[in-house]
Amino acid sequence: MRLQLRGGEVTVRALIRHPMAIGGRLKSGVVIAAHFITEVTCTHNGTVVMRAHWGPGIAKNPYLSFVVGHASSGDELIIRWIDNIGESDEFKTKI
Amino acid sequence: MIESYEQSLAPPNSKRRRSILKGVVTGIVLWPAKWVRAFELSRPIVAFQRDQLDETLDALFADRTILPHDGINIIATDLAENGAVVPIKIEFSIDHVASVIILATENPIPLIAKFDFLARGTDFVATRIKLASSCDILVVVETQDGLYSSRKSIEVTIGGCSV
Repeated sequence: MRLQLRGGEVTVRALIRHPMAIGGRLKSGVVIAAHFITEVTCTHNGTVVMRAHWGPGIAKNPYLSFVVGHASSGDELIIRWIDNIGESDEFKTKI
Repeated sequence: MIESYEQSLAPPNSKRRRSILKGVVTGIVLWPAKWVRAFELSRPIVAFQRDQLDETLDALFADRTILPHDGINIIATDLAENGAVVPIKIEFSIDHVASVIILATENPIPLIAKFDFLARGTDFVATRIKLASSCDILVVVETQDGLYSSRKSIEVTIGGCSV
């Protein structure tokens, strides 16, 4: 996760390592289970400012960028994700 | 720790009863707020199950009208060689944007993502999406005033529908 503070707002750029598998059957007959992130949230000083609902249409190793307003140096920013099989992770940083 | 006068006088049973009562009252007070929140921010489960664009839009917005808007700018390549990774950036010059919904007309699941913005501030959202074949990207922006949309057609050389 990279943050760029400019004029009271911070541009968030996050890269998440995840297979984002649609799921289905390969030509060889092997069945691959669906495995994709369903929800991503961004929390700014304890308040959820962005919540994204994703389907398998988001590309592998998802990239996400947006702006969080009313930000200043020292604020805490957390990005959390959860996927369809219950795995989750979070990135915590100070601006 | 010093217990309060009232608590120290009450027999243990009554203390337990009081704590249960307190829990029930708190539950009743908090319940409507929690319910409203869950309702507003829940995942559009039905829309993610639809395989046709019009059915998806119906599941998301029912019969609300969607107006085309010049203030939504979809920045993406015209020709995507690899449909598995198509960078897309959506800029909007609209006030009080609550949600941004990205759809691809020809994908097996047309709904790609829904971004809810719970605080003001952002004027764009960027990500990378999968496209099954050449299609239109439809972006719907939801504000408190209504729904606005913009389209962009993208040609895809190799579809991104790998398992």
